[in-house]
Amino acid sequence: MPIPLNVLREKKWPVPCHPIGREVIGKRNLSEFTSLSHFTPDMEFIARKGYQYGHYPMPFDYLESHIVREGTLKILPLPIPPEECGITSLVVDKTGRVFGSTAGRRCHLFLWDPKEKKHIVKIGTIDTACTKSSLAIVSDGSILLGIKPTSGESPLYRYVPGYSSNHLEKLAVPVRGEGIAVLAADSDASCVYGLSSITGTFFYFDNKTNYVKVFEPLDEHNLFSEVLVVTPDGDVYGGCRWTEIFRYDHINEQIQRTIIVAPSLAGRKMYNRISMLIFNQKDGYIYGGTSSDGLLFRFSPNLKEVISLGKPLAVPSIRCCVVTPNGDLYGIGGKEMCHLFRYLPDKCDMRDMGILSVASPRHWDGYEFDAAVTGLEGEIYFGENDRISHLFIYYPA
Amino acid sequence: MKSVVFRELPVHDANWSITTGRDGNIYVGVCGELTGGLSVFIVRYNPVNEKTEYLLEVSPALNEPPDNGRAPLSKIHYGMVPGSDGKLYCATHFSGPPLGDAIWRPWHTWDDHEKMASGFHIFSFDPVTEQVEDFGVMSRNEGSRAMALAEKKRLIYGVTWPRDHFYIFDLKNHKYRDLGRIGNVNPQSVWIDNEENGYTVDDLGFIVKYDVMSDRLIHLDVRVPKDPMFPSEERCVYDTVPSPDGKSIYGVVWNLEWAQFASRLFRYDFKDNKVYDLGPGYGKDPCDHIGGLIFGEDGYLYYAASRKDSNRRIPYRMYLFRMNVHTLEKEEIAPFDDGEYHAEYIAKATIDFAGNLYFADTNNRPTRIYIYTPEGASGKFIPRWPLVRSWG
Repeated sequence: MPIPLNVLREKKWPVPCHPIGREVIGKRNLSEFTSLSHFTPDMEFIARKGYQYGHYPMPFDYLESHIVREGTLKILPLPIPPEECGITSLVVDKTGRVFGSTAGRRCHLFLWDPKEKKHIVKIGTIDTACTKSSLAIVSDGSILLGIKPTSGESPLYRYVPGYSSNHLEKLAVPVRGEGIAVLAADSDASCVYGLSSITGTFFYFDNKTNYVKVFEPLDEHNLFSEVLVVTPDGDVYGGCRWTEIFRYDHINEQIQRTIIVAPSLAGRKMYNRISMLIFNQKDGYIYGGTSSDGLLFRFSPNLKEVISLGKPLAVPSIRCCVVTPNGDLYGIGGKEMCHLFRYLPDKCDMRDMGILSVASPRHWDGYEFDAAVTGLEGEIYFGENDRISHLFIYYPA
Repeated sequence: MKSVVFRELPVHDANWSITTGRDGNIYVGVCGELTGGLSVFIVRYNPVNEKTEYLLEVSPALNEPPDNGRAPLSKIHYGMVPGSDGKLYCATHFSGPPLGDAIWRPWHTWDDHEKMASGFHIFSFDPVTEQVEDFGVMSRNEGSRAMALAEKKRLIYGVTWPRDHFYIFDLKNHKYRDLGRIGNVNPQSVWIDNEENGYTVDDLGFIVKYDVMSDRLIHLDVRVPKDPMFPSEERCVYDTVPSPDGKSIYGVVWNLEWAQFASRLFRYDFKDNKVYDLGPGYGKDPCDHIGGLIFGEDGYLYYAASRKDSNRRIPYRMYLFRMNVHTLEKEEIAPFDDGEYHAEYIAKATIDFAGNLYFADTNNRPTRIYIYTPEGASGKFIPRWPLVRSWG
């Protein structure tokens, strides 16, 4: 039976905020700005007599307060079809050129030259479906690329700029039956370090000799974090079980499990992995982030201590991060609705800056990111990892 | 022009969804997006006895009280579609604020467990038995802006807001699939062809097709037109209606609420995979809005187009036009003015068994539907099915 009319007539309805439609007999612009938008906080509507409205204050800038409003942002479209253009890794070479790799139905390697400022160029394709790709750059400028295939194994690939003519050279499969979860390198050395995708087996690849050395899995239960960082002294750090930190002693070629553990919220160690690691040249710390809790932490390799810096965002998951030349951190966290955050170590200032959003050359909000790198001029590149993806370039204020 | 005013919902402010049921009655989703704590209502208008009935307060029926402090199920947007089984298939939407708040947007409350939106529901409502079948929450935090029913395949296609993901809901197996992001700004229409492939438009104007055989989203190389004066390449679709022969759709480009000179009529032919530019709907003002596309029994394409009136909250007055789809000649018929109010914004339209046309008004209190009877309307309530499009 329909809702009885007396029920609707006796209902205590909420009080509206402002007049609309036939309740409006005029309006006043509070600013010079006029808009087609239905909602214009700088407009005052003059109500017809006899109508009552509630007073519900709101910040005048509510509608744009969720987006990054400091600095300058632009985006570059990728010449790569949807479903294979999600950027999962970015590196910068010594001339400032940006190389990126994607994941999805196929993996693509692309190049952006900020000096030429033309458009992004696709320079290689791996015809294998993958969930992640990872890049590392070594001393002679060669780019090493590894992918985490959706099934089966995958080799390491090498691209040599200027020589290969868009050719991706297939190298060895570091661990049989597996792909590659992550790569990292000291760009002044010829060695690339990596973890295999299923068992988390640590390996290195010498780009001069093509020699691969495979170590043991980091954990007997195959629990590991898909991150590595190489410090200036040549050692490598990463995460093994849950959020435990390990060190690879490159001189003695030994993996050392430490008792150092990245922080988690109480009771949640089991749900976390280390999702980001980066070395800060300015203060000598390794900064990291965790996956499920989204905590930011600082690790001192010398002192072997971890300091929890807290949660920069309300959301879980620190996805990627860079350190600028002056030692500040800019990172991205969240799932489905990523936010940019900034941490200034000198001032201990940590803030949520909002969603990366542009209006040119098209309106676009970036909701998913998995890669970041700093350019030579201090600009920051963020790699969007969505069904349709862009390279974001952010110039901090 | 005649109207039916939904006076028993004095605070609700927009009729975003309108359709005709298998029973020949007009169903409207009466939404509340400008006042906090309101649930959408499903209202029925019987064109034979001219009776209005308020059938369902949706939010409590789906176990989400509208005054619980979260973003309420305040809308059924372009997501109310009649089935041959007599039921209405609906997808809810958000944007109305929580009770006590002036405004709400999903970006601001994405991980706020107190204020966030639960996620849109897909449900069916049987107006005869009054049974509601709630298929559950589909995508956390998101609404469904537009939706289509592929009835033979028992699939629902739609797009989410705010992330603009294309989704499929399998009515037989109760499975939801997110096919991923197609753009930045939601299209306002999702439609189907005779093979029940799904279509929509991204915000660069390209048609995106869900190919049901290959189970893939394909970005076609075909683009809805733009006015030559419109400087940007961005555009999207607002409304679409199937051609009488079912071989194409007629549509109108959307001005994205900011783009001037954007509104343009077009026809998309399924077999040729071609878009034909049919020109502006009215074309005298830079900020045209066109909606309410519907074919009359006389073969004309009727639609609502705006003229500028800066002294209004939404700066439009809406007028009924019709176009001869063979000659592309357009003529103005009448203002959407029932004597009480000249409409500011018409959303979508439907038709009854007798050929009367119904246009859903928005941004007014109380809300109403405008009724126009074309000269060529039969005037006889002869049941026949299908009568209306199977999308919102």
